[in-house]
Amino acid sequence: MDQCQLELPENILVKDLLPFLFQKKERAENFKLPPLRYAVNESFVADETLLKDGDCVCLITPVAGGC
Amino acid sequence: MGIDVGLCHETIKLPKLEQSFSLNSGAQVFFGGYVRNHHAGKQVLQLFYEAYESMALKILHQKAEAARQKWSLDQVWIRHRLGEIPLGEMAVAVLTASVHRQEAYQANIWLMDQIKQDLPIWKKESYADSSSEWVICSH
Repeated sequence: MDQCQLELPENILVKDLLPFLFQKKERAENFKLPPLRYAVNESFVADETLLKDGDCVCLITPVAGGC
Repeated sequence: MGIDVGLCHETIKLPKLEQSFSLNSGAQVFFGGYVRNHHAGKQVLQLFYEAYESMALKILHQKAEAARQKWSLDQVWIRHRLGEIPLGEMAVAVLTASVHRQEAYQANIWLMDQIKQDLPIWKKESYADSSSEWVICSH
């Protein structure tokens, strides 16, 4: 897992985060893999979720727990 | 007994089934998921699991509590191993106990489905041809 801090405009939705991440980290292009899910503060959220200052966002690529 | 869930980086140590058993329970179901030596026609040498650990633990607790309430379980015990896991070793274990067997069976199946769908854990397979791959698998 990789992480970084971003300065974002106000009233931004979690689904609109990617372009800002791509500017910050070239490797973020890898996250274009569908289907991408979003977690905010360690809970899955809808794409339309409004971000607020201090939120921790995780881009969840397809998971594969279990055997 | 209630709920006991966790992630571990070493061999999963199972509870002693009789000792962990509630006298209220008439049934106990155990599922173990093991590293097998093949996937999609390739010979697998080992698995590597990576997790967003704090979120995975939080979700494990939520799922276990949801199962306990839905099926009136006496016990939910879950462990998921992370890191490198050799062939034949256990990667995940789910134990459920209830008054009657149907609830323990159904809850156990549901919990494994939830683990595969919603737990932020990723799996990389290493193959005999020296290649490796992060896999997407819901079997």
